[in-house]
Amino acid sequence: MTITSFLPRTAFAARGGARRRLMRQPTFALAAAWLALVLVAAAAPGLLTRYDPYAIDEDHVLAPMSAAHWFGTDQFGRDTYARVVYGTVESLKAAVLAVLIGLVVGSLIGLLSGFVAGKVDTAVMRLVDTMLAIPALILSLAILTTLGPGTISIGIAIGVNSIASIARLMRSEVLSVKERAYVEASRFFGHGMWYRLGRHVIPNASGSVLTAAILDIGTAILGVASLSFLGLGAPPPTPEWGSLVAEGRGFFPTQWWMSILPGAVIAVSVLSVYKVARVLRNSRSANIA
Amino acid sequence: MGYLKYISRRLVYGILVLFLTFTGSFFLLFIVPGDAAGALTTGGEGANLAAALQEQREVLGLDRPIQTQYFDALWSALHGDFGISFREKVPASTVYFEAFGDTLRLASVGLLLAIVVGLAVGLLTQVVHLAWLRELLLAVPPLFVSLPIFLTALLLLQLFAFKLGLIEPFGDESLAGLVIASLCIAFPGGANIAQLLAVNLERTMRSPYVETLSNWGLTRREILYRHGLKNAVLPVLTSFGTTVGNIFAGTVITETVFSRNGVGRIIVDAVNAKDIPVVLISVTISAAIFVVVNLLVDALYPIIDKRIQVA
Amino acid sequence: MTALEIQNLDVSFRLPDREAPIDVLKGVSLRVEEGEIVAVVGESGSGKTTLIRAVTGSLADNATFSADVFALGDLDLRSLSRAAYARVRGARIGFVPQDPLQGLNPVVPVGRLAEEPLRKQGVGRAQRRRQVLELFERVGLDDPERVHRSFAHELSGGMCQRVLIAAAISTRPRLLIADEPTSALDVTIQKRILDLLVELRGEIRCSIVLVTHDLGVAEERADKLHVISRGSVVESGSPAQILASPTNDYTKLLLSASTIGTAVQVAEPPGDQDTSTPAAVHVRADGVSKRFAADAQALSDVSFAVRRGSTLGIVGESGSGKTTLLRIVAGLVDGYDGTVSVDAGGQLADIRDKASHGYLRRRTQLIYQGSYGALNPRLSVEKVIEEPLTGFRLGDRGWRRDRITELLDLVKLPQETRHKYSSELSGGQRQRVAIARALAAEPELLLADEPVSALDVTVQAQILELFRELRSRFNLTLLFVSHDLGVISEVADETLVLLRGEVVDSGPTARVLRESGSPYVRELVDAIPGGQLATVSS
Repeated sequence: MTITSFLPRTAFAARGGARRRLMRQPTFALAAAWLALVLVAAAAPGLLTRYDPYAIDEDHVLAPMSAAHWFGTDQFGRDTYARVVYGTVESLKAAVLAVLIGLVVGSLIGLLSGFVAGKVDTAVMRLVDTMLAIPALILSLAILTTLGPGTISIGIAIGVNSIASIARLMRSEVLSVKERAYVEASRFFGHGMWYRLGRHVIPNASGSVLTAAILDIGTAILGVASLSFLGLGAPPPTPEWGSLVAEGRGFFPTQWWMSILPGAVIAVSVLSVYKVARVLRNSRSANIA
Repeated sequence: MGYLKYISRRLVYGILVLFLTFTGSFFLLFIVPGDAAGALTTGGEGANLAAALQEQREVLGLDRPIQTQYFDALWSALHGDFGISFREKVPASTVYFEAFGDTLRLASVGLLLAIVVGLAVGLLTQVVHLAWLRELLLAVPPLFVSLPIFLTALLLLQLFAFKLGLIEPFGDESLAGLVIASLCIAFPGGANIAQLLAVNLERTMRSPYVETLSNWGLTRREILYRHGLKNAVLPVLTSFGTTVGNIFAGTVITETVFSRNGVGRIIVDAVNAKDIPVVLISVTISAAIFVVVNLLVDALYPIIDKRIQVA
Repeated sequence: MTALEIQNLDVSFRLPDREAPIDVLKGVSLRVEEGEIVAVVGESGSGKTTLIRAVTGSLADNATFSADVFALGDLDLRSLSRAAYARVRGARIGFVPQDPLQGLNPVVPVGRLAEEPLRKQGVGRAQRRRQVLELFERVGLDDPERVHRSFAHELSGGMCQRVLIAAAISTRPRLLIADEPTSALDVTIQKRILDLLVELRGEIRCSIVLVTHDLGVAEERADKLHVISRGSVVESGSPAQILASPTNDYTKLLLSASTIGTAVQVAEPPGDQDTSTPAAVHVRADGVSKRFAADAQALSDVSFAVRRGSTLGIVGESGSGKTTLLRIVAGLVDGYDGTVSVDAGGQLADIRDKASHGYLRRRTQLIYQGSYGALNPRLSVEKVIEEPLTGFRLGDRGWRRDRITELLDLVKLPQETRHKYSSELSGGQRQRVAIARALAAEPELLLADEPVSALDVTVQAQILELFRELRSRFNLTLLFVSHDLGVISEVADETLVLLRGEVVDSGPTARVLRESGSPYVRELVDAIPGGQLATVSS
């Protein structure tokens, strides 16, 4: 029972200042800033730390948190903070690969299923349902059995999980857009199937799929970290967020920061992605509804 | 009648999903590069190695055509035989089901906690009047969804095993150990339920019939309990299969961190050792659990929501 | 005794991103005497929903309101606490919502729902069940026991509205507020529900505030009428008084736009029809039948012929098959019996033939109900209108730009509109864009499916005027589908009335309206709101 229900839509359709309003939300601004930092860490880790993540320093083994070593050092005297910063690129690579796989493959399957309909649709949806029946982590593990460990393998293993949900979403969007009058009307405007698909169906169906994919980045970071924690990521000494937590676990509980701090970095990143995705989704639905 | 027909159709569908799962995982796993024999054959060199590989393949039956292998495996699986574990040299089903009880206990306690806490928090977001408490209740679930299970597990371990000394840090078999370990899978599961319920309650409470009821003199709380809740719980029920699946999968990491016995750890070991029969049974049983849970949900759904046409 | 008195009511809303509050109601005064029916008439955005919410005490939290007098009987509503207001709602104020299907909780049996007001008054389980069953019978529901355990989706819209009325009057409230109680219903049902409300008013002696957008609905039943526009009451008085001599410009507009009296005005066929040389038949249907499922007959044996440049109105209620018929003519539905033929150049040919099919795609346009769905939200108006021009590869870029300018003028849209998106347009503007797009490739046959039913009456009138103008200017043949006989009577030369897939009457519109032999058609004509008054005033 808010006022939105009975005010002229134009009052809300005004787009000017929408972005400024977003940035005024403090949590959104924080989340966006954190993600920017993560991107910097992935692109140019040298900007964020002066340590070499592989440099062994036998004089400073298992050092506690300090001004010199923010996250302390590990059993070889390597700076944990530097390893987290340099580990960003591997973890992010896997997560982005995963989301791309889910988005591209899932969208194509959903598009095919929704647009072609009929028997193809039924068959494809059965397969999608089957994929959804296997818990995400278990499916990833099964795939890794075949692919073997590694960053790319993890990306694929996690990405396959989101194919089914993206395909479902895309299909339902396509089915609903396909029914809209403007799609049918374009038959009377001399346009063929490809035009309908490209001009009407895909642009209008892809919006919510893209927002879902942004949300999936968070889930993918979590999944990638879990698999890497289980030791299925890049082999040592390459740093990765999840494997850093696993390495630190051996020095639990006395050197708790070795595992908890990289873990916290993962959690904050996932939280930030979710926050940004949610805000984007809400502002999108407010603009369209 | 209509209902029976509906249920049997769902049953057939569930069986189809299981069959596809088995088939899909079989072909996925048996195209392993270098196949399973490679993983098991170590120490040989040159011609010696090739011979050892060949021998191993014959032992495992990997030298036969793939379709023969598949139909054999399918037929055996229907009898509960998923082959001999490469690592343990005993039937994969024995390996799996010996550990299954432990995991079932862990997952059940986790599920129960997730449901109770999730529903309570979700409901409270709509009931609480204090603005700050409401905001807090709305903010907590997204936080717990974002926490990696291994991080929660480590924090719980730090607190309960090392700080408070309530449980053993490694493989605590007591009830306290079980409950505390189950917390880390209950958190994300419960947070998901809470979020879903809160969103749906919010949406339901904005539907036109709520305004009608309010104009008939019902208070917001009455409308919530007598009308809104039933509507808002339906989507939670629909996604129950996925919730159970995720909680079951969550035991993989929990068992690893708490050094508990269970199928979760067995799967991880099997993946590392390319112990295909064990991976195969793990995937199949996980899907079976999902199928059974969904079947129960499907059976329940039309009883709660009469709009579903069962015919 | 006064049932409800409001003097000088102001309501405004504060929005987070705006400095000044938005005034939604300004100085509204109205008085409802005991046993009176008072109608509040206004279009969407006029503030009528806010008025209802103010009376039922359910304004949103960001609303501020003030009034000199705001009293229900002798109870000052201004001083009520939230909890006290909850005791007034339901007990002393009954409420009938707008959309009966959405007004009922889908997962609770309607009987249990209808018992809610009584339960709230502390009536015991057995007694309230008995009372509700009696009321169900009273409001004209057959087999009350069965209805009591049904769910909303198992009942028709009319039945749901009866359930809601029964619930609203179960506590014998002194005041009944009906919020557009019939706008979601078919016309014949609409009339019965309104008659029921009037009857019940006499029986339980309550006053009724009837809120509606339809002046016709209001004037027939109300003792007093208030016209509300942009948050202010612009005209008050008895219906006869207002309709005879409206003082306010807005009321005049509303009056001229509403279909009141058209049933009589159509006494003569439209004059621009050249009857001396009858034009050739353009579209013809012979024995068209269609079934969807094994048991549902959508259309049976429908035939008609439309001459070039004339308009056929197709009327029917929901489920009558009118849209299916139109879509068959458009070549969008397969698997029907009978033939539809069009004159694609000299002689009639079956639309399933290749040449005719091509003609349908090239020279025929469909116009949909004026909702969002008709225009792609991601394209600017310019791009939308350009679609047929690029599709048929007409002209170069410059020519197309000029053509769009011309088309915008034709449908009387300002040139600035070309860069806007559909979400920035009003319902009427969107429908004008859709018409411009339909005309772009110079069609000969227009198929319009409920093109005005989503619009406010004043806008409706403008769009209908546009249709008439364009039709004679381009000699268009028009098939016009509507559920509203009043609308059809304004545009159609010939009218075809469908009931459950069968033609119950067809012929020149004036004849169908005035002397139809079909009882159903006569019921439809009677149900045209305002018909009675039109007879009186003429």
